[in-house]
Amino acid sequence: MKSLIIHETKKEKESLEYILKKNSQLTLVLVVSKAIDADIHVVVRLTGRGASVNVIGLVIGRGDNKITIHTEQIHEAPETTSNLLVKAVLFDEAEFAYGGIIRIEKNAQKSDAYQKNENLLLSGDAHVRSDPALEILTNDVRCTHGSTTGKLNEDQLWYLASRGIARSVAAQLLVDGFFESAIAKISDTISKEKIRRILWETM
Amino acid sequence: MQNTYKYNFRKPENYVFKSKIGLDQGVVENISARKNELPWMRQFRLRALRQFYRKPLPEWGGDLNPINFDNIFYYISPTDKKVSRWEDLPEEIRDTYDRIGIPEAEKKFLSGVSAQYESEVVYKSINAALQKKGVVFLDMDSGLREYPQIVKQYFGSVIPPGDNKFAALNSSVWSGGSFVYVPVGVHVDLPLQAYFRINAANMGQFERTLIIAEEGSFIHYVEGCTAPMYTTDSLHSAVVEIIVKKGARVRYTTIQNWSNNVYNLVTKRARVEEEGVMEWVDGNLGSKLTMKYPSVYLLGRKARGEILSIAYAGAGQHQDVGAKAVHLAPETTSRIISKSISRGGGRTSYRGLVQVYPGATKSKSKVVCDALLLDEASRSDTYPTMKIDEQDVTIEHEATVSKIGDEQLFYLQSRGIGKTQAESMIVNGFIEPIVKELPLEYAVELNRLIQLQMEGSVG
Repeated sequence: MKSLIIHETKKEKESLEYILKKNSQLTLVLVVSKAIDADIHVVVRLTGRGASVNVIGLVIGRGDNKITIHTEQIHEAPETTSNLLVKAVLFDEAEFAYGGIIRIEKNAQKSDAYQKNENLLLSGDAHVRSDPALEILTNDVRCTHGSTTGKLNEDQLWYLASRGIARSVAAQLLVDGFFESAIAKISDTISKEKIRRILWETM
Repeated sequence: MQNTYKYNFRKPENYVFKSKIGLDQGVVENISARKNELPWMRQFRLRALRQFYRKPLPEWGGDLNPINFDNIFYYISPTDKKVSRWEDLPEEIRDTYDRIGIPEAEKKFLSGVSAQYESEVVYKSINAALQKKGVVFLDMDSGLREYPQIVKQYFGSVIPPGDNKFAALNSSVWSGGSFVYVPVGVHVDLPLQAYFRINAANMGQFERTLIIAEEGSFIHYVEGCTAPMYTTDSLHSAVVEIIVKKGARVRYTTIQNWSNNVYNLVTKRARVEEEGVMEWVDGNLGSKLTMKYPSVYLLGRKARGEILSIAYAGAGQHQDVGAKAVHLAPETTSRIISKSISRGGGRTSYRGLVQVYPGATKSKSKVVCDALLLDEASRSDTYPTMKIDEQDVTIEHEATVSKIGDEQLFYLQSRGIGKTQAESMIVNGFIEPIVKELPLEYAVELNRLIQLQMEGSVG
């Protein structure tokens, strides 16, 4: 079974849990962009051999938004795969906290897990907290995670300026590009467009 | 051969003074009185004791519940007077040191030896050239006696007793450790070295080290531990405070190989001022549980902190180690590299913090954690935390967890190298980037220890 879920957060507090049985595949896209405070907890359990999940989180924080995303990738069966990418762009005094854990249980041999959090700060008053954790209880696995936080690349802005593009427009292009690298992981074109539209409404 | 422990020998206990078992105000006052301390230090100890009682045990990290604070000797002094010549040491103590090779090392590499047998530094020799430069290298008790003003100014200034429960414990019962003072502009070319041993059943060791590097100075301090085996649990809880002044550089290297029943709970922190550089090189082998997170507080512009660590956990061991970099000034940089190895059901955890305060513009931090799991029963955790309250920064963290590559193993075996040897070659290659930062004799010893541990896994 193969499925794609686009989940746009509209409530302040949400708890989502997905259980993936044998050979099932899920792509979950989480979008938090409606300038609200949000506290989202996502749990994915890979309980059947060969199950695989792809989680994409896209966050835009504005004003004094306080956004928290907590994810759990729990590998309970062998040969399971999970990929996670959470990208946040923060304006104004927005606060974003990402907490995530990959847990590979004893019997989940030959699993492959990935977790990445990238944050782009567009204001000096924005705050980021990133806690990407790993708990690996067996050895025959591939498991990697990463986290980066920074501001817009000055070289790229300068390049665009040298081509006559105003700084505000250039910044917008770079932010689009920042999200686009995550959207590119979705294969369905219609869904891609839908996600871009949701993001555009907020920008 | 699960308990292959190279230095598994014990000397009969022959102590001059041993405080009564357990901890109360009387014990602390007794320690202070025996050392003829000034009132401020006695007050400091008693205040810390009250904080120790108030503070709860940390709820994160390893399992600390088996520690029975009422079943520990908090102070033992092995000999009454200090000696500065090797020949003057009691034969028994000399013999212990011969077995871990200190005199040899001293002849070849060291500019000063401060060997801690139990709670006090008993043997000390300082290169005359160092003394001439004005470098002070004393045990902490002598430092307090001879340089009370400097000690009073800095003692507890980087790690206040209330920092955590074990810092409070150390502050109330501390004994031994080193006091190092490097004057303005002085470069100490050879590493200063101190060895620590625990040799009494149920004895805690609470050494306290204070290093002050004045403007533009440089020092490399090396500390190594090999402790004998015990039947009951031992507690080691040290505090190391380092002050790196403007443009100074301090490197602090530790190789610890506690026996498998020691709780090693250490607080290490450095305050780094403008353009100062602090480097922690930390190797953790052995012990039952180690909780240690060397920290750098970057307070001045362009201050830099570097933390390199290796952790090895075998059967029944938990290494909960990591690093902390706190950026408080502009253009500060930090780099953390952690390598961990788990085998035979051992558990290694990386626990770290990178924090950037508002105003620490153009700060950069990079954290790389690599973990190697040698069998199905072992475990590896990574718990990094990043708190960023400044926009103009570059913060990166990455971690990987893997096993020994089948291809690498196959290649080496195809060249006629046995499996065990191939595995230890791969493990030694894995930690090589950090081992090459160690002084030569430590690098050799570490490689040998890893090899010993790996061989233990076959038998």
